[in-house]
Amino acid sequence: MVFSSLIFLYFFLPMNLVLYFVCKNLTYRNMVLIIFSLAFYAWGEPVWVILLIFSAAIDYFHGLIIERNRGTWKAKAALISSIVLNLSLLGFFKYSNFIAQNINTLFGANIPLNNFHLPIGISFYTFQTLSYVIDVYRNDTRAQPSFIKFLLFVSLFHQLVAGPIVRYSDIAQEIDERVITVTEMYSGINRFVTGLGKKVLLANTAGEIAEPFLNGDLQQLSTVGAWIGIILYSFQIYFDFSGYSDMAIGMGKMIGFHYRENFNYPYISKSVTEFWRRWHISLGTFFRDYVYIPLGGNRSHHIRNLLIVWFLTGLWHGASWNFVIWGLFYGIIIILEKKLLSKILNKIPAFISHIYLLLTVMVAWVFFCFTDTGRAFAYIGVMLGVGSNPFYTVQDSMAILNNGLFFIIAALGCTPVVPVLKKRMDDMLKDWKYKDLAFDICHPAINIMLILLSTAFLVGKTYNPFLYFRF
Amino acid sequence: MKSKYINLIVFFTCLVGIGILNIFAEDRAVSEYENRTLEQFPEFSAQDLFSGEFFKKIDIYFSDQFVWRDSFVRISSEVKDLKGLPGSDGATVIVQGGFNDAEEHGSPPEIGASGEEPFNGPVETIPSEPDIEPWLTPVPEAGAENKPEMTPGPTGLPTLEPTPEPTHVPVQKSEPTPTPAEEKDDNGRKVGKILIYNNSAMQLFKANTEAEACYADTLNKFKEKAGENIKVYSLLAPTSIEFIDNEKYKSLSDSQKDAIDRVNEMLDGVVTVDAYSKLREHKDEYIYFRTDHHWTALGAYYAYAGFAEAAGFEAVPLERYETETIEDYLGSLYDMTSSSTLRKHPDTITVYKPFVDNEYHVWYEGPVKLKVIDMSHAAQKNKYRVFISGDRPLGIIKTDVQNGRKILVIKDSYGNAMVPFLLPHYEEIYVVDPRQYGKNIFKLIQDNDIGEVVFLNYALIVGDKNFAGLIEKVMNQ
Repeated sequence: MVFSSLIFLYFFLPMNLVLYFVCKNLTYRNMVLIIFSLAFYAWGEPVWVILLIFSAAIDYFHGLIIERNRGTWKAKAALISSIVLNLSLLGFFKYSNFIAQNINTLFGANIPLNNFHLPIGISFYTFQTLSYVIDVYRNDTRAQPSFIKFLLFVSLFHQLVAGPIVRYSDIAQEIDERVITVTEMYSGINRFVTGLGKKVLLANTAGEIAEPFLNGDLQQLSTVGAWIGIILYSFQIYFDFSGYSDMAIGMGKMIGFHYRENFNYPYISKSVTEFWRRWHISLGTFFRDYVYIPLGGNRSHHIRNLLIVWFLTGLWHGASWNFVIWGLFYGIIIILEKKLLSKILNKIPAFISHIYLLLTVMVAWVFFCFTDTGRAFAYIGVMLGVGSNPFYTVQDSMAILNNGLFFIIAALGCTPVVPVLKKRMDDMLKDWKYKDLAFDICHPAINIMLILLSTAFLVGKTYNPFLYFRF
Repeated sequence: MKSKYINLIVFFTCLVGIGILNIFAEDRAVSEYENRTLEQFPEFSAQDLFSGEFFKKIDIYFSDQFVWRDSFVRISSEVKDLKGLPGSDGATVIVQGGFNDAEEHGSPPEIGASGEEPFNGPVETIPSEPDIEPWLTPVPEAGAENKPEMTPGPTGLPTLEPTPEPTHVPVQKSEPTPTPAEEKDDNGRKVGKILIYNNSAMQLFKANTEAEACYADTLNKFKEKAGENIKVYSLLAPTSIEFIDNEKYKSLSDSQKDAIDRVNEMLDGVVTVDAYSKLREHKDEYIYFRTDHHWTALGAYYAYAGFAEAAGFEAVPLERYETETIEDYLGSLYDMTSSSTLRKHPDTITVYKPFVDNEYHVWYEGPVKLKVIDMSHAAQKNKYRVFISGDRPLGIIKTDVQNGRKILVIKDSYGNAMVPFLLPHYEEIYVVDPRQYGKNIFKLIQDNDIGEVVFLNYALIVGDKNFAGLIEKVMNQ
């Protein structure tokens, strides 16, 4: 199931919330959440839901073993066993065909491919359980003695299929004890609705407009058209993914869970290093804490460590070379920035750094967008005006004229303009005694408009993929 | 603090309220607004359950039966129209991945069998709303303005009415046989483009000189095999984009005139029919549908006038025909684009009723009697089927003309609107749709002593090699 589906919005979520609040006892509430989470997963993966439970069970037991044998070789063995098992599951379901294909092409071997499809969210939940076991081993957190509670952490539908990657330690307390306040629910609702709007109104629309440019005939694509296409793709992927995170964070807040922020206006960054502190934060910190620092961080083999991290970051996004190229591209730029560029970037005017960042990110998205690397390079060729492609066609001007307003709204949506304006208004009206009331009326009014408009778009939609679903 | 509850109440009321309304709302079979049947609650099967198909169907069902669906669809298309800059003329290009993907060839249409439902549009991007084409289901009331004196379909053959025939759309990107996929773009994706401008949808044409040569080559081979005594014509009908009155948008599409000229140049021994200039003379008339990729019967008539010159007979003046009209037709291009502009400007189909006595049979396992102009289709979704009842593998019309002339029309669905005009000139007319016909075409010609063959298709078929492949197939069966 996806958050931006009507059955989720008007059947699953209200049922879940009503049953949740009807139960007063935390144990029952947790049961409600688990049942709904498994149903949520089974909706898309009726078979692999078993794998999810199996994976949770493995890490649950490993966690216990580590805790009981803390400080002994047994703990270490359990840690290694858990890492091996988790990565094997991920490797088998996500990477086995990729590896086989590469061996087949390289050595002319003939390893048969399996035809499983990738179980939804496996990349997310393996990382979550992996981080749990490592944290227990490092004594950063206590092992969860109850399997039900552990399963709740793993399967919680808010973040199950598309992140954010929630660390067990972040919500360990909240599994046992949650406080729900009106203010929290209030802001959770706002957050959820914002995410819904970002996904349905902005990401889907950008995807629709981008389609002819990205997936059309490359020979006919103009330079301007190639840029339009990749700009729209940049909008789409940001609103899609951050919208999903907003919805997850919002739903968490509604019932007393607090997940960490996953995005912080990445497109306003001034360097790639900054971009990655603002983009998919939960993934970046995962690799930082569990790969980069254990490898030695910046103290030993700095460049090697960076390349490994970025190779893995790329590979995590998909079992295909284009993602590896995408990751390594970032790795190399970040190394350059650390060694050289950062001094320059600090000195030049801010708008030039912004342009540098946006251009780099857009070029990178080309590799992310096309699994076929040949096509990605050809597309970049068109963007650079290499070859015989036209510079500009009628179709480009049509796309700009017909969607001009959308471009402006989407560009503004990538900046913190809304929170800034809200803050300004708040300051301006601070002496007005009905200020709070006015805000409390405006919020639901805006929310209901966004919900109904999103509903209209979903009902009338022809297009609603979650980009992050493949990972 | 208390006022904070407003947000909570509004949010929950909205979700729970609309949720409850959905549970109690009655299911509808058809959306007249969208011109399609709506998904019903799926039947349970263990296989569907484990493959996830069952839940997918429920998703579609839920969305299709959503309360106030029509209003929501309208709101979304109207809001989407607002995203342009002022001064834009609203012209858009819509890309169809998997354009025309599913085609006649999927399942041989057997009378009474329930055919596969064809699937248009980008499959992987439409998880919950596949274009399940409801041609088969009569749309109640949709043809209410039809004259009551019309006979409802072929008498004596009531079983034929729900004939589950597949879509009528001519081949342009279809894959009839597993031939090499040359019509795919460089990424292996099938792409077709539709321009919407001035309340009309038009397919864009991409010239492909290789495919043109292939077409000409195949026809030349056909002529050679058919022999001296059989006259072979080639009629390529330009499509609506060719006569658009806006130079800027015209430039989006390659010239069909040039493509037709190039093909005609290469033809050897095949008589070329100049439908193009006839249509151009009348380009300001209603010769193409706005919401459908076909020409109107009027457009077909002008092409027929061109054919009459080539075939050496006098075209019957249009005044000779009695006409009937069908209002509110939303055709294939509306289905593909769901454009609100098109929806607001539906087409009118005018039919010219044959004055020559005739008997029309289509052949599957055996003959089935049909009508050349079959107004029963006026009440159904695919109203273009009023012309010779849509695409059939083989149709045979026998008239009382008694001049001994026999013609074989090898056509796509463009041919359907023109065939009725041939009745006054031929004693026997054989209509073959190569996408469905599975027998040797020369055998048909010899067995029936046919003297003339016309290849009657729209110009887009020379944009890829499919058509040539199909002709090869029926030549070598």
